[in-house]
Order: sequence, then C-alpha cells, then structure tokens
Amino acid sequence: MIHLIGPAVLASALAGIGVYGLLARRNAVLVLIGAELLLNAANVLLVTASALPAGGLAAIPDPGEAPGEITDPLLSGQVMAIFVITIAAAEIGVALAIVLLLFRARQTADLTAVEELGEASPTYTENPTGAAEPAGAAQPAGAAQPAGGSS
Amino acid sequence: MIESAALLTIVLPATAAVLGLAMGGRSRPWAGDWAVVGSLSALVAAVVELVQVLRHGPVTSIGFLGRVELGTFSIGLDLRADQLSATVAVAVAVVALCVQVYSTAYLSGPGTPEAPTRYPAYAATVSLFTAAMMLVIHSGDLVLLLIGWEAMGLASYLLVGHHSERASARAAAMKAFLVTRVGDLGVLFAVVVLLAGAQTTSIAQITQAATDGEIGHGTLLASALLLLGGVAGKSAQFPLHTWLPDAMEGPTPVSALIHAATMVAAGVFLVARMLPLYLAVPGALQVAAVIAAISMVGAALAALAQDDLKRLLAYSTISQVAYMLAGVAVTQAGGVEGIGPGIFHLLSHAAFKALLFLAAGCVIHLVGSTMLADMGGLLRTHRALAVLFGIGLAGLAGVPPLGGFWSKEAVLTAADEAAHAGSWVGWVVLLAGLGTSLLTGLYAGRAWSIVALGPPAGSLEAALVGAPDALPAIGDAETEEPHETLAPGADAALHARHAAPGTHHLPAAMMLPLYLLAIPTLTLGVVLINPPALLSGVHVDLVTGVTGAMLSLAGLGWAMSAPRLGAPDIAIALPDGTRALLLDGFRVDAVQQALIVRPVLALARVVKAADWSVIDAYVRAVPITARTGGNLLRRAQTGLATAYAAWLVLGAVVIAIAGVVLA
Repeated sequence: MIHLIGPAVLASALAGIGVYGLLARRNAVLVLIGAELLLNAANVLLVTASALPAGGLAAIPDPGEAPGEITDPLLSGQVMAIFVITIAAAEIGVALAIVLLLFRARQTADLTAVEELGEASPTYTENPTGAAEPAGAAQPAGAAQPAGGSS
Repeated sequence: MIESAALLTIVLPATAAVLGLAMGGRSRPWAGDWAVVGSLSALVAAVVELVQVLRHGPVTSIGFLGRVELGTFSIGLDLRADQLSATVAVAVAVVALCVQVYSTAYLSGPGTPEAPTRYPAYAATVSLFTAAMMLVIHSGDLVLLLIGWEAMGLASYLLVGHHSERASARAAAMKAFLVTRVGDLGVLFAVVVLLAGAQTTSIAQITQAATDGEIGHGTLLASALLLLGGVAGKSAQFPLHTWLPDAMEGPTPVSALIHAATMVAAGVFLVARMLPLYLAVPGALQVAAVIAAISMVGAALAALAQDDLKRLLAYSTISQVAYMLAGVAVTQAGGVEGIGPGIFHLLSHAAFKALLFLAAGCVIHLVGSTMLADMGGLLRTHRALAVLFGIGLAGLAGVPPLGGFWSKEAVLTAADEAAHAGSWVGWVVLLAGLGTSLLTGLYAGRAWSIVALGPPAGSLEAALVGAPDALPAIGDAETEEPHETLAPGADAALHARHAAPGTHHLPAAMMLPLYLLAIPTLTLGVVLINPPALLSGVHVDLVTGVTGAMLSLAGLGWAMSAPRLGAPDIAIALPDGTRALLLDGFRVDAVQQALIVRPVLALARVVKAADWSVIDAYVRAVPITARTGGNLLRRAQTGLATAYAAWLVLGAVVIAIAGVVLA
C-alpha cells in the first residue's frame, strides 16, 4: 500500500493548477482545462479516500502490521470518481459547444472580451428587445378605446 | 293605543328623516313636506299618547327592538309611556314642528356658494334629532336610552356644523361633539356599573331596586355620579357647558331645537327619570345641586355681558337648565312627585326659549348680524315681532303670570322647603336662584332695551326706514311671496348682504311658529289649576314667589330704564376687565385649554412622534435595506465569466474552511 502523501500532493497540485487556470487564463479552452484539472483533483482524492479502511485516517494500521479489510464492498469512492468522470464528459461537451459558438460569433475565445451580461459593459441594456420598439406607440390606441366607447 | 302612539312618536320622525334624505333628494318641496309632515304626525301621536296616559295610566313595557341576550344578561330594548315621557314628548313635538315650519322659510333657496342651505339634509337631520330625543324619553332601558343619547350627539354635531364651509362652525361642531362625548362616557360607564352591580339595565327594575335598597351603596353612588357626568355634558352644566355658546354657529332654528326641546332637556330628563336612584344616594343629588347653583349664577353673569344675541340666549339656557336641575335636585318629596318643579320648568322653558330663539332668528334675518350692536329699534319697525320677542324675554325673566314665572317660582319654592327642612343644599340653591332671578331680569331687560327700544343701528336704520310696517298679517300666507334675498344660510355671514332697503318681509312660515309658541309661554300656568299627577308636586309659595318676581322685575326695570339714561346697554356700566371676563364666560375655555386640551395635544404629539420614529422606522427601513443590498449585489454582476468563477472558488474555500473549523 503506497503512502497517502503521494495522492494527496498530487491532488493538491492538480487543484492548484486548476484554480490558477480557472482564474488567470483568458482563453476559454484553457479555463475549461483548469476546470477539468479541478475535477480530476477531486477524483484522485475520492479514489484515495476509498482505499482507506473503515474508521478513516485514524484506523490506518502502522507500517508492518497487516492491512485491515476494506469494509466497503461497493467502493463508493471509486464509484463517485466514475460519476465525476461522466459528468465531466457531459460538462466539457456542453462547454466546448458554447466556446465553439462564441468563437463563431466573435471570432475570439477570449473571456474578457465578452461581458455583455454584466452591467459594467458598454453594450449592456436592461431591455435588449424593447429599444427597437417605438415606445408608447401602443399606449394612445389603448387609451382611445374606452374614450370612444363612452361618447 | 298608548303603545302605538309611543312607538309612532319615535318611528314617524325617523321615517321622515330617512324619506327626506332618500326621496327629498334635489326636489326641495318634497324634503320640506316630509319633514313637516313627520313632525306634525309625531305631535299628533304625542298628544294622543298624553291624553291616553292621563286617562288610562302609564304603560311600563312596550316591545320595541326585542331582547338582547348577552350571556348571563338579557337586555330588553323596550319602551315605556308614562306622564313624564308623554308630557316631554308633547313639548318636543311642538318645538320640533315649529322649528321645521320655521326652517322651510329660514333655509329656503339654494343659498350662496359660500353658505349653501342644503335644506334636505338639514331637515332630515332635524327629524333624526327629534326621533332620537323621542327614543330617549320613551326608552324603558338604559341601553336603549344610550342609543338615543348617542344619536342625539351625532345629530347635534351635524347640525351645529351645518355650515361646514366655515372653520368656526367646524370647530364648534367638533367641540360640541367632544365635550358632550366626555359626559356620554359617564352614561356608558354608568350602564356598565349598573349591569355589574344590579344585573339589569331596565330603568323600572333599577329604580325599584334602588328604592328597596337592594343595590349596594357603592354601585348606586358610582352610577349616579357617572350619570350626572352625562347630564352635565348634554345639559351643558358646569364644567361641561362650554360647547353650548359655541354651538351658536349652527343655524338659529337648530339652536331653538337644541335649547328648547332636545339635547339640553335630555340631561334633566335623565335625572328626573332616574330620580329614585338619586334619592337613594343624597350625595349625588347634592353634587347635582351645587353644579346647578354654579351654572345658574355663572351663566347668568356671563349672559349679562355678551355682545352677541345668540350667545346671550345660550348662556341663559345654561342658567335656566340649571334651574331645572336644581328643581329636581332639591326635591324633598320621597317619590317621583319630586320631579314636578324641574319638569314644569323644562316645559315652560321649552316654550319660551324656542320662542326666543325663533324670534332672534327673525331679528338676525332682518339685521344680517348676530351682534347686539347691530340691532335696535325693533319695536318701531316690526312691532309684532318685537312683542313676541318681549313675551319670550318676559317668560325668561319670570314675569307673572307667564308660564316661566310659575315654573321658576315652583323651583324656588322647592328649594325654600328644602332649606327650611334643614338642608344646606336647599339654601345654596335658594340663594343662587334668587340671585339669578335678579340677573335674569337684568340680562333679559338688557336684550329688550337693545333690540327693541334702542336706536336702530347702522344699516338697519337705512334698511328699515323705508318699510316700517312690513310685517305680514298672520294667516295670509297666500299673499306672502317668499323673497329671493331672504335665504339665510350661515347666520351672520349670509345675512350681511341684506342691504336692499324696504324689502324686509318676514315669511308667514317664520311668524306662525312664534305665535304658536307664544301661547304656552303665556298660559302654561293654567295647567296648575288642575295639575296632573306629574305636576302635583308643583306649588308656589307666596313669599318666595313674590320675592322672586320682585327681584326679576327689579332687574328688568333697571335694565329697561337704561335707554332713558342714554345708552341702551347697561353692560357698559361694568368695569372693562369684569366685562371682558364675563364676555369670555369666566375664561373657562382658557382653563380647559390649559388643563385638558394642551396636555392631550402634547400627549398626541408624543404618541405621533413615537409612532413615526419607532414603529414606522422599521417599515421605512425595509425599502432602504433592500435598495442598499440590491446596489451592493449588482456590483457583483460584472459579466466577466472569470469573476463568477472567482466567486465560486471563494465560496468553495469558505465552505472548506467552515467544514474544517466546525468539524
């Protein structure tokens, strides 16, 4: 049984690189890779944790002693890892599709270039379609209706 | 027969009020017809009731509104008809009829934009007022009486504030409502006390139990004093009298109604009705007598210096109602006969005070002002009106052999007997009453010499010289055409435009009630030749009668001699300071302002401030918090995907730290 420090360091390194990629990269594909790295850090931790005996870290036997029985026959940590891989595949599919569309529309995959959803954006509007309509055009017609009926 | 008559006295005016409002609508003649027919039929019903009661005796229980089951109590909302209620009902109905007939002319025409007459609403309210008073005098249960009592308060509020365009009228109405309401609370609490202490609110049962000594002394004393509070409020007795002079803001016929028949008479009536209760607790009667003595003298003194005819009459009402209350309060008779003098004075006062107010309304109508300074020379210009006014004043002063003389001397005789029976209250009332006789003579004579004898003042002279003999003959109403400009609304404000000379006809509808009211004013004493059981306690002691009559005649003569000496107004003989004090009614208003109104207003301000800055603060904080929070949160919406991811990571870190720390 290998020592726990290896997988733990690996998971930390993956998570650190993932966070860095998520927050610091501007290219959407690289940001997605950061997210994938984060997910895989979680996978490593899950698989590692599933190898722990019943009772967790406190129940790990000293070196030389016989390893305890793995009590969970369903290997829930590994099952969770499979789940994460599945969900990550689905997620990356959707995300890559969005990135592709973004690139088709803008000819760029730079995330800092698309901030239309934020208020600080120069092209931001509360009413994306209303600006095109002639404001108040429907109002006089509606007001004239009861006036005409009463006279 | 009695039952139906008693019911009809209440139902007919009430119906007239409803019909007058619902069907009078914009068509004025209908409103007037409903009102006059309603009060006329009420008078017929009251007379029938009186005749039947005198012939067949009283009926103690007439089903009216059924019974109200209140858990352990059962309140029977029944009426009763006896000599007291029937007699007062006739007086109320007569005055109400006179007022309604008079008002058809007094409030004719649409009025001016500043003072619209609003006749239909007015007539309906007067009918309602009459119905409420009829309910009070016929009710056999204190709860039912309280209903009528409150309805009267409402009607008086509406009528005093009839010319609601003017701030003074609104203030007077509010004052009348609030001041009488203070007293009304007393009646309400008295009902509660009696319900708790005597387990019943039936007047008959309460009086019976009080006579038999079945009710605890504490309950009796508390309820008697609380009722007395209501009496002081409604009957405008010290210290709750201040609303009455201010209530002169209402149209003059309303003043006649309030002063003569309804409202102020109700208080005295209540004491008379509950007299067995009061006889069981002499302390309450002594309080009533002292209140009456103070009101009697104080109001007469205040009347002496008034410069407004209606306010003078208002103070005289306070003084005269005090006579009634004193007449009931000093009774030495063990039974109900003791109410005789007080009720007799109530009847005669109803006649002469209604006459006085309606005549004063005619004078105001002619002069266009309520100020005494604007009046004068009525005897030369309108002799019949002046004579009728004089009859009213003579009744007020108690000149023999008018009704007012007999009733006032009956009260004084009752006080005299009480005094000689060793009661200090009797002495107080007797001395106050004799002093007031002199004062009454003085102010009645003063009013006469200013209004009738004095020189015509200012515009009146100009207006009246052209038509010195413009009074219509009574009975030819057909030839009397209503004059366009004779539509008084807000008494002084509206009459002020009566500048057209030579056109001062008084409509027959305004003169007829005066003649009608002059009859009982002159001849009410005839009743004493063969008095009914109600008035069997009324008799006039020769010495007291002569003394009282001499005093009032002396006062009259003194005041009426003034014109010969130069100035018609004897009040100018008073020192200026005294005169101002009396004009303000001993500044009771200022005292009330300082003792009650200001603290209440201060308390209201404190409550308002607390409400605004404490309770409302929470409510006002809600939108501020939401807006601030919203502004903070919208800063987070940068549109930058990386920034959202940063928030996500931050959240994950916070959750992780929390998990480690809290685990």
